[in-house]
Amino acid sequence: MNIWQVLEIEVTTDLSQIKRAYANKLKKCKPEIDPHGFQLLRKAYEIAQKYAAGVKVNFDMAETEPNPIQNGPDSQKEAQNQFNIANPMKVVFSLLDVLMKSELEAINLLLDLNKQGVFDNLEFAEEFQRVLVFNLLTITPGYYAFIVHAIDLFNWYEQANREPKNSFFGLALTNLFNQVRPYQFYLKLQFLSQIKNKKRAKQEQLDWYQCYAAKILLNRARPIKFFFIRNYKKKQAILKLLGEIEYNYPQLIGMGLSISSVAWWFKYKQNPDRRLLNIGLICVCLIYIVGFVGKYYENNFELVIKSPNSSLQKNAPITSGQNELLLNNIGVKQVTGDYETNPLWTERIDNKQFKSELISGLGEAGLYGGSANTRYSLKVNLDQFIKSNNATTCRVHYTLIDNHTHKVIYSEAILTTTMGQSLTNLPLKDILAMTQANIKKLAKVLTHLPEEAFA
Amino acid sequence: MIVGIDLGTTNSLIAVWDSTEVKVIPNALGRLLTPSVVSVDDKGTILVGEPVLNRMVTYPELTIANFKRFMGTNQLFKLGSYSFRAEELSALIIARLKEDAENFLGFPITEAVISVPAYFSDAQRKATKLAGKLAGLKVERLINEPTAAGIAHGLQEKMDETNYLIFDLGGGTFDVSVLTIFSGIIEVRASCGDNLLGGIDFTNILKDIFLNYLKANYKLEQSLSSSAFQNKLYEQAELAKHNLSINSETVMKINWNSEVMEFHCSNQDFENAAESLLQRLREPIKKVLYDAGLSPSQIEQVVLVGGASRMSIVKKMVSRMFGRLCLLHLDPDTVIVRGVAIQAGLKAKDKALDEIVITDVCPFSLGVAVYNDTIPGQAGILHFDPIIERNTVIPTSCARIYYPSQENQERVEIKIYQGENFSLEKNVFLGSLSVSLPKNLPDKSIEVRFTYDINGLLEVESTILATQTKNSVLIEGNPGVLTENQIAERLASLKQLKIHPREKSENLLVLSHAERLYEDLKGDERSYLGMIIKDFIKTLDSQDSQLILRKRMQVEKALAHLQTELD
Repeated sequence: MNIWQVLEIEVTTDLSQIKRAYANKLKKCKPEIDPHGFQLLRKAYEIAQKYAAGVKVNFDMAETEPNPIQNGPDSQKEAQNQFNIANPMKVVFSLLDVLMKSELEAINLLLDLNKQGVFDNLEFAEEFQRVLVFNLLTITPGYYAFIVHAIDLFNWYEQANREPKNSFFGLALTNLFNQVRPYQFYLKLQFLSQIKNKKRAKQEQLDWYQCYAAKILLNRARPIKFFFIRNYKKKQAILKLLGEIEYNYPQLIGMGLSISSVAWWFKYKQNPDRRLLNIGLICVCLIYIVGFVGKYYENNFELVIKSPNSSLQKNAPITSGQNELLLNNIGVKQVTGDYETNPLWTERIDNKQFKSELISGLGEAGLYGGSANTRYSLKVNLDQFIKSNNATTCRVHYTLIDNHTHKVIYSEAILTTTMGQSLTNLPLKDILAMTQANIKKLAKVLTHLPEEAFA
Repeated sequence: MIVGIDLGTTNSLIAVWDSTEVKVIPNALGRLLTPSVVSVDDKGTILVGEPVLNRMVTYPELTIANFKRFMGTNQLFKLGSYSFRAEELSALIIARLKEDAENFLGFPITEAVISVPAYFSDAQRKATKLAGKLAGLKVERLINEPTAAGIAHGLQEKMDETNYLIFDLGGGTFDVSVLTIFSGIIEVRASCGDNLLGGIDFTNILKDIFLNYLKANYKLEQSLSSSAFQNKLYEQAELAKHNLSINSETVMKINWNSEVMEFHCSNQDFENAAESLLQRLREPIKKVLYDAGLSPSQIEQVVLVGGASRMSIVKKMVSRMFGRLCLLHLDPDTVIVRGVAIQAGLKAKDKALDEIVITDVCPFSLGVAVYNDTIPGQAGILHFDPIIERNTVIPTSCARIYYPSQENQERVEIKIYQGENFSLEKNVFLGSLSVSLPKNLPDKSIEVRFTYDINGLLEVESTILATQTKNSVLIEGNPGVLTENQIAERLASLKQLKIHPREKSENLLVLSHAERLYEDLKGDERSYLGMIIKDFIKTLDSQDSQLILRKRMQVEKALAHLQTELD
């Protein structure tokens, strides 16, 4: 049976005609009296409405029964292929599907869509943004990186200013901004901390003290360190940065302690009271003890699970599709970036440890050629260690160089993501597993490099 | 004839469709609103309605209000020597309404349509149905409150194709619905709400402002714990709330331990203090518009319903949100019961209403708990998978296919949940269905079908596709719902109750008012009133109706006089 037979009209895109037909039929099969007939009519009506809105539909009633087996991964692929058709809802939902699985893939997909010019159509873009924003609101908190990208891509700050103050879209945007504020603050800290010296800061027209403060904050300076910063301006800069955000951001909890200790110090200066001094000293002792115990614990823990280098397999079997040129012919030249790019790397895994992991990973894939006299060498930069509520992502940039010709053969960043863990309590072994996964990805990419790359 | 009942948190009403129009039935005191309050006197007689309001102050421990919020829970309310569930208290109210209606119509009634907040859950709906049953009524239909309001409005104006937003802020519950009305069809597009937000929360805010002021300016340590003091404060706050709906400023006044304390409160103060509540009102509005797929500009009429929507701060907020004035031309107190009565007329297949069809939605998603190993990091954790998405038109029937998670699994437990959250804990558990799988099946897929009927009751059916074996369950027996035996027990115990007769409500009202006043007065006036009360009680005992009537008039006059003295 066909929907138009149910509605008893000819095929049409005239919405008012469809509605009239529905209304007339409805009076004959009221939901109370004929529930089954009503359900059938309703389904036909909804399909007809979609058809009128320009969506491709199947007119046949029998086949419109939802069938989850066919609605599996296939339909999703289909949806991705159909991004260009004029249904922003569908695009958003496919995007959100991807987002649920991997934040980074979703970001890439969003940027790809932009490159493809999907958002060039104003009407489409507007609808897309609205649907996306309201949907993001229902799934947040979480996915901060994605939201920040979307905010940048669509210029949502500007749009929020343009929208009338009481509009839903404006309110929704404000809501989103509020949610990602801690994350953006964190990004800002990262950006500031990359400025290495005063001169550079001047070039970039930044306040050097702010950059310094960001570095200190990201390095999670123990409160005691804060005391030894003699420079008043630096202290002020740190306090100013901290003032920008509430202390509920996990990485900054430690700093909450320090700010209270500063407050205490100023109080003591104004009123040098013995009791106050004693309390302060006791606090400092406690902080010391906590810091010491924490450090001891971390060190101990690290010893247990440090992976051995003995798993090196020099003569790994050659499988088809592998590039023989690289076999046992790659050396690791340098690993950089742990401290500069993100102290979180340092805290968990430093350059040295990453290097040993890399060597064992390459060895397993049969690519490692010893510490000297290899044709190719690998440069590594530990880029980013991003943490959002639902996912932790690490990004590592690899560069493969031909030692003879000094040509760059391969230079790309590789991402790995873990879902559902927060970094503050992410155990070291999980981070190790993440880096290992990253290295495995690299090995796979390298073994399948096309011949042209070497030419 | 089927009656329509609006069972509210603060006030309840009853109405009937008399083949041309709606008649809202007045109670024994001639008023349309019957407060949803129950009390018990020292002889163990149950008192209901308006006369009991004064007892909130005079006998706070023997009086209960706002019990609608506890429908569908196992909460017990102590009332003197009795203890009641929220259903039973509601049944007492319904029974009184029924009595009023029978008196008004002159014949017994057996069937009713009762309204519930759109956002009421399955258990709460069942509890409401049970309350009707305990009161001796067959509940033919439950109807969502905003839908009822929409029906009342939709009948008023016969415009073509109009989108309404119904903003229903009652005493204790809040609902928003978007309706489209076209050629006699009232279609609910989406509903959303908050079951724990209503006028009483706003009153509490005012009470807090007042209390903070009093704490700061008077010594009140001992009085604070007294529930009579608290109830008095509440009463003043309620009064102030009503005043602020009309004026921009009001005075809250309390007479305690022969000291008169006053506080001036402006609408601006109120608005600032109630900001968090207003925020909670905004969220469902945004959600419902989104679910209906409409932008604010596509809403032609914004209708305010429910007594609490009279508050000027609420009106202001809604008109700000939509950038226009709201429709309030039907009495917000009675509009719901009017709609319910129309629905009752429809149910009775009244000819005048033949051209009207109403379609409603299911306001929340319903689904099952599933494992999904394809989501990284979620392996092994159960999560919620909706089968009926929220705001699907009902009645509806949806099915999805699932597979056992283990190779050699012999049983599958289908756990049924209601809610919107991905993780199970934040959703409401409704019940479960256990399916045993035959051994050595090549294809172990199971189809789970949810059928949601027009009264909001859910039936779940599972089919093993390979063998076509079916299993089904009607969601029952979840926490907060009584079993058949328990219901019979409750029904019997309710019949035993001595309930204060309806005809004597007026006497009771006068008496409770006098007792109330007695507390506020002092000195000579107080002892004078004491004498009047004693005399009146003596007259009541005489059972001489002529004498009682005359005496009552006298007492009323005296009370009015004393009241003006006090003010």
